[in-house]
Amino acid sequence: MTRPPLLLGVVVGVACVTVETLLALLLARTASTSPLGLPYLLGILLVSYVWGLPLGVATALASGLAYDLFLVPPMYRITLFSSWSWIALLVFLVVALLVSGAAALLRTLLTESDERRREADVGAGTARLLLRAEHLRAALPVVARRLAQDLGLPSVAIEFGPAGDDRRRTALPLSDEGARFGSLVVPADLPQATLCRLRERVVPSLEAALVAARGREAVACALAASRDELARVAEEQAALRRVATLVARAVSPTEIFNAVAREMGLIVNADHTAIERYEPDRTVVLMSSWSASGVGSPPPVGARRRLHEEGLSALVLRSGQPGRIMVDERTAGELGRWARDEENGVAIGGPIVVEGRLWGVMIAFFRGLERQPEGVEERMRDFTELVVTAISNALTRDELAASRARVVAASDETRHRIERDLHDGAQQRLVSLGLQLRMAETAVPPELPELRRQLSRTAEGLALVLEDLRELSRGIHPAILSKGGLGPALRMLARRSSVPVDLRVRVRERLPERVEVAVYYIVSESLTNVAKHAHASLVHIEVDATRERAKVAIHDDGIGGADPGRGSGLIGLSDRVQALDGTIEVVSPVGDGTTLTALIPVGSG
Amino acid sequence: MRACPHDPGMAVNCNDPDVLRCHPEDVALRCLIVDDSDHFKEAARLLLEADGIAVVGTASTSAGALRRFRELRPDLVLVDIDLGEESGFDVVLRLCAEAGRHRPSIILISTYDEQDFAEMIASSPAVAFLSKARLSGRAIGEIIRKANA
Repeated sequence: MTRPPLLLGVVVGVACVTVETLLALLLARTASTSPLGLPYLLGILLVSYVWGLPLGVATALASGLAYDLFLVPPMYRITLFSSWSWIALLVFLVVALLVSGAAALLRTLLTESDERRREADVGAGTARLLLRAEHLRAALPVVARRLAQDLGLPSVAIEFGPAGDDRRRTALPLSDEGARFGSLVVPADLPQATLCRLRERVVPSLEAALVAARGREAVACALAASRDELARVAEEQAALRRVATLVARAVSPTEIFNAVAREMGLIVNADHTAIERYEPDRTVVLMSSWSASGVGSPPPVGARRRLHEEGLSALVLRSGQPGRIMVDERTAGELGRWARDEENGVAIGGPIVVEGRLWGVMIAFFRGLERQPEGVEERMRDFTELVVTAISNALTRDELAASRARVVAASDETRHRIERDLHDGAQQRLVSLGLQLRMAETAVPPELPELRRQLSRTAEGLALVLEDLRELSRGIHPAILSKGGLGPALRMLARRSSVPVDLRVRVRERLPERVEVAVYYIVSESLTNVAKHAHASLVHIEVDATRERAKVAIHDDGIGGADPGRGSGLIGLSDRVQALDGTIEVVSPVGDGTTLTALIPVGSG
Repeated sequence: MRACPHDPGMAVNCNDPDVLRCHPEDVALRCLIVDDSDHFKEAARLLLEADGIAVVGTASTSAGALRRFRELRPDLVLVDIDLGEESGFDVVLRLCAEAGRHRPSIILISTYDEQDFAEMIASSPAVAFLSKARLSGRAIGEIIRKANA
């Protein structure tokens, strides 16, 4: 609150005393008993409140004088020292001075509280501005302007870091638990009281708001950073998961290489990626490549190139460790030239180690020499591990399939051999023995009929043994298959089947033995099952073979409801077919017959 | 062509329609056995000779069979379906090619069941299949008679 000019105060004081004197005189005529000094108090109150204590005291004294002159008899004389009436005058003066003091004090208190309120408002406004600000430093000038406006200062600045006084400005330190972190800079010519007020009452609230705002900003920054990190990690995990899913689904290694090249390129933000396999003759074969822009044509997958001694692949091969090189005219191999696009860059390579052996290298290329991408080697490692798993799986799978095929082939060969041995050995001998028996029989003289009968029975028994042996041999290995091929062998099965068979065979030429054997056993086992379980009246069998695959479709009109998992025969067939990388499927709805479909790749040899 | 009415189990060669030799005392059937089992060849020879068929030679392989055939010109050839690595069916084809117009009676023999090789036997120029266990002069005579009927 600013006070009106002092002169106005004097004029108002004189006017008040005059008016009050007249009022008192008027009152004296009407009611002589009333306290005649009372009207003066109004003037003293007004002047003291508005212009402060000194003018108030002056007004009080003037009022006392006027009271003495005009209202205390004898009139128009100073009676203070001449009559007993001075007691009344003294009382009046004391009251007047007290009123004056009280009014001035009230004024000060009001002013003070108003200032406090404003300061509190300023503090709250400042805190609000600071805490709401997205960027603290950008908010500082706004807050300073607001402070200057609210505190009525010509200029205010808030600065972080050390700031010194100079002739034109004064820096009030801002500190957090004793550590100065900035300054409130105000003009140097401010009154000491203002400075004092700023230091005592503005600075603490500003400090508190700034500390809170800085803390909030730090938390927000940390949050944003961790959010970014989280997003990056999530993205990377998603990419790894996608590739891992492919690995788990056992898709072809080529597909996995492609997925890895692409996902890794996106994650590390590379311009190009490639996967190469080391060959024993110091060449590398490109297994997959990916390009962010899609422009330019990479070398074809499967392309083989000599190791470029200055290049990245050679470096990784030498060290067995991740490596990075600057790619320029000198170091760019064939791959580098594709990746370079007439621009130099950075290439980072990670080794792919499969079962202890350096299998290949994963390469990421970043265009531009000014980029030094960080953390690529680490993230590459995660992808490399998936590639390693995929390759190991594929190797294991191939080995497993090969070993299964070997087991089946070995068992087939053994059965074939046993059948041959039986045929060439025991069967021939038994047949010969039979012939000899019959000769002996004819040679027996007619007078020995008993011997003749015995010989005859023995020969018959031998014939039965031979028959049994023949059945056994056929079960072990069908000779007709190796001698006549699939068509005659399947027709033989059809002829022997107890259930009528409608057989269609479209096989132009001999198939590899393992395929013929598999098809034969599929048909043979199916016919056995049909005879045993299906209660069928007809079986349709269709076999057709191309150069690529043999297909067997068997359908009966029986009762259905066959459980493929139950019969060990079917499981054996399934193993056999899978060992040849084929598929077998049995559909057997209850009441609607059984259908078996098998596909076997013919392959080479 | 006529079958020999007197002794079906005895020597008859009715392959050649111009020549009719139905007298048992006249000639014995001259037989070549092609088989890779020595046991069987020996047993078969004894049996057939006892039944009045002259086993003039034996062979174990396709090449041996052709050679013996050229030398001996037999009336009857018994060919084992299974000659180790070689196939009796092939031997039959080659013998027929070799024989030309004067084709002997060729009979496929085996320890395998006839059913197993039914269609291959049917498509072969051999006159019939005879299970080794049923081999006898009488069985051969019946086959030849049927073939000539």
